[in-house]
Amino acid sequence: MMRSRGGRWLVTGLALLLAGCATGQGTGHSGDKDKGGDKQALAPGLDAASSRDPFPSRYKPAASGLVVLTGATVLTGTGARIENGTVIIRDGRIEAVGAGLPVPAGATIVDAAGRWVTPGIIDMHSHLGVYASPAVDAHSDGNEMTDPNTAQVWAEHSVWPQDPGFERALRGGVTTLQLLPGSANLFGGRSVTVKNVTARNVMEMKFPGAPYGLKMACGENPKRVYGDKGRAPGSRMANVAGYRTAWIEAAEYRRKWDAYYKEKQDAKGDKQPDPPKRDLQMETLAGVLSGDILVQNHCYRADEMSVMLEVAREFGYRVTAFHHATEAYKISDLLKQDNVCIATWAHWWGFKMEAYDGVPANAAMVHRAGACAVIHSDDETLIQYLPKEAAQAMAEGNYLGLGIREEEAISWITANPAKAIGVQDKTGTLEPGKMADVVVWNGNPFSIYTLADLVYIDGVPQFDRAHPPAEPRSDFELGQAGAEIFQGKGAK
Amino acid sequence: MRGFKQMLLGGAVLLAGLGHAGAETIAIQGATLVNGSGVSTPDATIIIKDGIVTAAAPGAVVPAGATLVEGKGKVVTPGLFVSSSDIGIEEVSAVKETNDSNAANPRISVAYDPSYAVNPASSLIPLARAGGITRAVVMPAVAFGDGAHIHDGETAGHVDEPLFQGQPALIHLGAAPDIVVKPRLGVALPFGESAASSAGGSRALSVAILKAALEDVRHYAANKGAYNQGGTREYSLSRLDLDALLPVVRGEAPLFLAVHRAADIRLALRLAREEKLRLVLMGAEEGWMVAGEIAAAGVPVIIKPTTNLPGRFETQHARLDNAALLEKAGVVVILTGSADGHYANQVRFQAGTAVAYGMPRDKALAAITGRPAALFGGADSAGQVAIGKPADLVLWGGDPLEPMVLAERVFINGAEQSLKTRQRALEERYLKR
Repeated sequence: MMRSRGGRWLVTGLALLLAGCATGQGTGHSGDKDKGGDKQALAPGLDAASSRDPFPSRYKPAASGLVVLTGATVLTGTGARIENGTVIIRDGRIEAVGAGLPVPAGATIVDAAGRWVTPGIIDMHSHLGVYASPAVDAHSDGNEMTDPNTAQVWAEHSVWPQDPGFERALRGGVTTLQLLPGSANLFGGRSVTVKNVTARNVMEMKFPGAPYGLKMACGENPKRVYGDKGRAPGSRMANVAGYRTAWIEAAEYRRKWDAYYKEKQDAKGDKQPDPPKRDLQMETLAGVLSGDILVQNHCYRADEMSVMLEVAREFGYRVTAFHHATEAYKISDLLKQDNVCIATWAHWWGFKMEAYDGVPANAAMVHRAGACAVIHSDDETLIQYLPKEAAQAMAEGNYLGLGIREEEAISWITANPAKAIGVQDKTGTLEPGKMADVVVWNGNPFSIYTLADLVYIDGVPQFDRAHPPAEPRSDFELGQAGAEIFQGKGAK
Repeated sequence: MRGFKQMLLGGAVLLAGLGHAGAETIAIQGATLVNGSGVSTPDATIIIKDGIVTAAAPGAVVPAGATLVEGKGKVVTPGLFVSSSDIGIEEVSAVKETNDSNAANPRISVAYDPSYAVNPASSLIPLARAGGITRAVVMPAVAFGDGAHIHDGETAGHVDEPLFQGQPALIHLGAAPDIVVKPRLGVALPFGESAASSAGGSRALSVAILKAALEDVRHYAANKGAYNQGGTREYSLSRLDLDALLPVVRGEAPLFLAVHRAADIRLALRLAREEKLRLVLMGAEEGWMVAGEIAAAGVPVIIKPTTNLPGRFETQHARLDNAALLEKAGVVVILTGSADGHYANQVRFQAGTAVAYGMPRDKALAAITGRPAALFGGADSAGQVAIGKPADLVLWGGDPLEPMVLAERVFINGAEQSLKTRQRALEERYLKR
């Protein structure tokens, strides 16, 4: 049993929350606005120091009250499995998890006997919202295929919250998603992490305190897209030259801003320095160098992932995760050594040359070798079946004798993706103090027949299979004529 | 790691011992047999003698010297079908030299016969086989495309492709040099958004093109002699295409129509009535809304049950209980998965999902065994575990629709198959490293 450590957690949590912010500081308060004597105050967007979080999360969960799930088989995401488990949710947070805990007075009790409870599913590679359904050209907003370096674009500015895919994913237990730009470019732009909640704009979905990711891409896509246009990169060696060139520029940009910050700190009275001109592309790359933005690197082949680890060493940044990583099983030791997560599938392979060596046990082999494995979707249908996809990886791993247990495999779609997108202190496991992102399944989640009964986000039931919403969540699906036309019920 | 190594060695010995079935008798005892009709027989004894099924019932007498296989808690099914796939004609989707599934030649559209391109040595085949798939319909149509990264800078366009997409072929997935079971099962073509795009920008144009083609074929059939002398009017199809469409016009072979929205399904049924065509519907995502009409027309549907998003306007009302609702209405439902042959082994999870959303489990199994066998198989041995027929069956470690369950023994055309795949060779190489 785990209990909240109360106040101590809060303090630590707050510190982490701040550290987790996009650029390591709070929102928009420069505190320097009125300084600078007779100088006119700059708009916040002109000074990176006062524009730390320009599109802040405006997600405000409703009050959850006190909810207690009882009698369940609980997979905590930390590797533990608890029979007859109790999960206590208070004010949007996990308060306690254990076997047969006493139920506090005044709680809403959910009898979960015979059911399974897991952390909310996290998909760390989704294009929902940026490649929304219907997949018409007008909704194709995920790939800025106009330059190999578009680090300046932010996926959140393409997200259409009305994508019907969000609601389908919710039914599959998905509570948190990292939405990414596509992989045509060496630097594709910033990712955004969202909670799977109804919203009118992306700010109302944004995961509070989640760091940004930078989408990078290895291999075939950049060299094909730009090679076909007759410009660099047209080869893997030019891909790498492209990354290195950009990091050199970014380091220079970072030095310029560091000098400004120092000058500003030392300045007295009306001698305030002028900020350098912002460059959004360089700002994102510099954010990686300072450790505030996490590298999310699309990369299939073992040899290329190995090279990317060397590039990271050369320029002093970390690769947080390799995405797709179909050959990760060939370099489990290198991944473990550099503490890099990989996000992959169980059954996708062979759709292009660099995916030819994809194997179903990839995640299981990486996991057993002690590195961080994640099962991701990259697909609006597969996102609805992530536990089933993890089951395939587990089954093949066990065929090989790896002995993967369900309480381990659940981490591939909960705790590990939370780590890989930098929210592991907030969600991804059923531990006291974490956000109450929880799924109640009507059976073993790895069974093909099992469905999510209840999906809680911050303790609020966002989906209840017994009481499905009367109307579709997406405006797009609302009021569309359908069966009644063809079944003779259309006339008034 | 030592433990794994020993297990792997053990596995290798086991695999080496399997080989092809020669003069041998195998008795699987105590398994549940779910036959191609969807009928379950618990505690069955299945006896395979020299590759031929000689018993498949509870209490069958096991001949002396038979190799006993414990079947308790396990399930035997006929080999599974994937009913719309490019398996066998592609290796790496994006490497066009290895991919014969993108044929687009305006003079050879109906006549395009992918059976000539089938490669029995493709690495996709053992993976499907190890997943219990023993038959596949090589379908030259883009009815069930998904996944596979079209957003990575490729476009999925189909403008300028011919309307007709060619003739599906039935293949088996046994390790053998000749795996085409039955070529030219009918003619495939899209109907709806993608047909409109190939036809010049409207569904109505694609209907006009189809009707004109049918009329031309009838005229050609009646005037072949004159045609060969250059004595007929000009036809909308090449000679090869006219010949290929003849069996369809005569009602001897079906049109495999990839059709999605309810209105288009009704239009397809109407056209089939008017033109006296046999029809098989593929996709039919909005079929549940007109299920009664499909059932009344006696038209089978091949559907992918996991489609539940309005990916296109024409699949706006796609839903997860489409299979269950069609089944309930009395339609002959066949389930399949992605058309990408790399994912042929996923078809049992598609069936499992249909069950999760209301289709009876044994019917869902029939929808990936006996029903496609009846539609495509003809005299082929697949689709039923039946006395006197070559064994074409799978012994599963448990419920075949569960992802945690694997195929343990696979027989195709009476020969036991290795479950070795290129993927497993890679896994084992890097586990041993």
